[in-house]
Amino acid sequence: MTKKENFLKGFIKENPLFVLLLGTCPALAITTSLENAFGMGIAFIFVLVMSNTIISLINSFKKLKELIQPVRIAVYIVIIASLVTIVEMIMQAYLPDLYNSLGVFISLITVNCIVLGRAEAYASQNTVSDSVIDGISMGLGYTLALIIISLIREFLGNGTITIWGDLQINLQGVFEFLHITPISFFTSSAGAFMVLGIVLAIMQAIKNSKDAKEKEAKKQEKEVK
Amino acid sequence: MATKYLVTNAPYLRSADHGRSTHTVMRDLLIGLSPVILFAIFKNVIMVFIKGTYVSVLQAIYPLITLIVGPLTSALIEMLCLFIMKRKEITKFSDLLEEVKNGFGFFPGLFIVLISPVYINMWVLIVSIAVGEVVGKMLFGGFGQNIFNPAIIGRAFMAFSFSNLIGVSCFDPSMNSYLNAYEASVVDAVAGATPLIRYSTLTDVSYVGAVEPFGNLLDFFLGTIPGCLGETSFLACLIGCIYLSVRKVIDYKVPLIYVSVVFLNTLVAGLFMGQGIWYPTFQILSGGLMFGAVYMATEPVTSPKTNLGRAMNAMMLGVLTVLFRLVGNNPEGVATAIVTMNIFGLVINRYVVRVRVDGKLDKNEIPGLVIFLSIFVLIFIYNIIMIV
Repeated sequence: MTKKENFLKGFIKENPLFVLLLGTCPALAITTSLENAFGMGIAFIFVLVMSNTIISLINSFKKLKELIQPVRIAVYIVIIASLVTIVEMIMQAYLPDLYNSLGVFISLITVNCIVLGRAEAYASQNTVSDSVIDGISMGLGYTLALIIISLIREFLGNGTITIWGDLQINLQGVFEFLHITPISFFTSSAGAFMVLGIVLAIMQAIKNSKDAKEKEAKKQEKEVK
Repeated sequence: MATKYLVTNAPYLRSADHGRSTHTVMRDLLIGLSPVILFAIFKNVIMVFIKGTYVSVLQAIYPLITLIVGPLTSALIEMLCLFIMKRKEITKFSDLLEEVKNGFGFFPGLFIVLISPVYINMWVLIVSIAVGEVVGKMLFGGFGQNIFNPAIIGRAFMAFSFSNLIGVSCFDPSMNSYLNAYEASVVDAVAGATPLIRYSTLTDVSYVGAVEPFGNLLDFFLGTIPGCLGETSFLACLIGCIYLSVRKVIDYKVPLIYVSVVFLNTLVAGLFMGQGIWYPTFQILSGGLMFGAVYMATEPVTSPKTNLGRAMNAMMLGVLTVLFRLVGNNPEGVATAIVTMNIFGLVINRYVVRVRVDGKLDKNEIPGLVIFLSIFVLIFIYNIIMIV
């Protein structure tokens, strides 16, 4: 796998939320506005990149790797938890509004399946530079997924799109033009499940049709030969 | 033995059905629904014209418009989904039409209209039908593969997302959408929209408080009470039930068991409260119980396929309806109960198949039946305790 492929895989091919289905719990809870998705994404990228770096560094020393082998999950959790604590404190100091709206889900990054999963499955077996690229890729892919879900949910549920703080696009005119009101169902968690499910179904349908096309192309090549 | 049971998509026709197809089933279902539809038109359009209490002609014929728009929307959305998903080789428009006809494409919309308030906002109706059709049916792969009843998914979506709009008439925001133009001028505003909504606000239960504002129990039986468009009349549903049972489209045992379990459960609870026979009768005559029991609990795709499975399903539906309606204070009890039991449809089917193949209960199958019966009895007793 080249470095470019490694970087691009997190967006669509191995998207943590849409393909690997990891980290769905915060994705369902915090995607009520675009601002939340941004904030969560940034915190997430920081934690993921740093944890991948540190864990691949630890594993690059052979003796250290053997030493922590029996208790590696605990070691990883300690590393991730300290990183999350840093993020939480910084956010509380400089972005108190975002901190309040994300609430407990910042702390819960610690036990997010993606961070631990990447540490166990990728960072512990690859070089530092590859792990950093993997962290950035996975983090950006997760942020992208959060942004897609939150755009749909905030638009249909509230009629607004909050980019950051007071910077808000008001699209309620669209609803007024159609003489309808925003559908509050989409701000509830049941709406989040529905949006996630529909996006997953669409992604899967696109993937299936691509696969079918590739198969046909291969068949034709064989026939030509 | 059990591993040789091959399951294809519902609904199933038996060899004894002699050349019947989904077309004949659909025609029978339409005829079976016609008493309900005709009564809805009689009560909400013709009566309004006779009494002359309508504000505009549009308001008077609004139920008719919804009855036409609903099925059309549902069929159009199904066509659109089929076109986008390209599940079958569809080249011509007639293919698409044929596919919708085979897939009962008109029915989710029709059912949603029949279980919605009379003067529901048109866009609320259309959005709900779209959600029911897409999420409840097409995303699962179309007709025969859906787990949930699409009409009830749409109705539940309506109830949960438009809770502030659903009870408001689209002609006059100060009026109640459950009351048609004639009833709005007659029924006391304090009485509450429908018998069940009024009942849920009562502090102490009595015949005077629950039944008398809407007439007597004969009115409940005939259906001349306020409520959703198609589900007020017990009699019309009963006629439909008899026709469909004779034509073997539905199994008459399902509504029979369902309604009698509700009757028994509320009878016992009513006796403990010191109420007479009117209390269980009121409970089975009001709301959408009979409509749900006849037309939705028996839906060929989502309900269990064998006699024992259907009986188990109907028994659980009965106690769950009482649980949601009276203990949970949720007038939509029937819809919630049917959706809940749809989840367990597969489990019941799997279990019943094992019993059926052997023809008799053996040691391995008894625990399942015991678990089922104990859950049933537990909810039954819990209902009684909570209501009293």
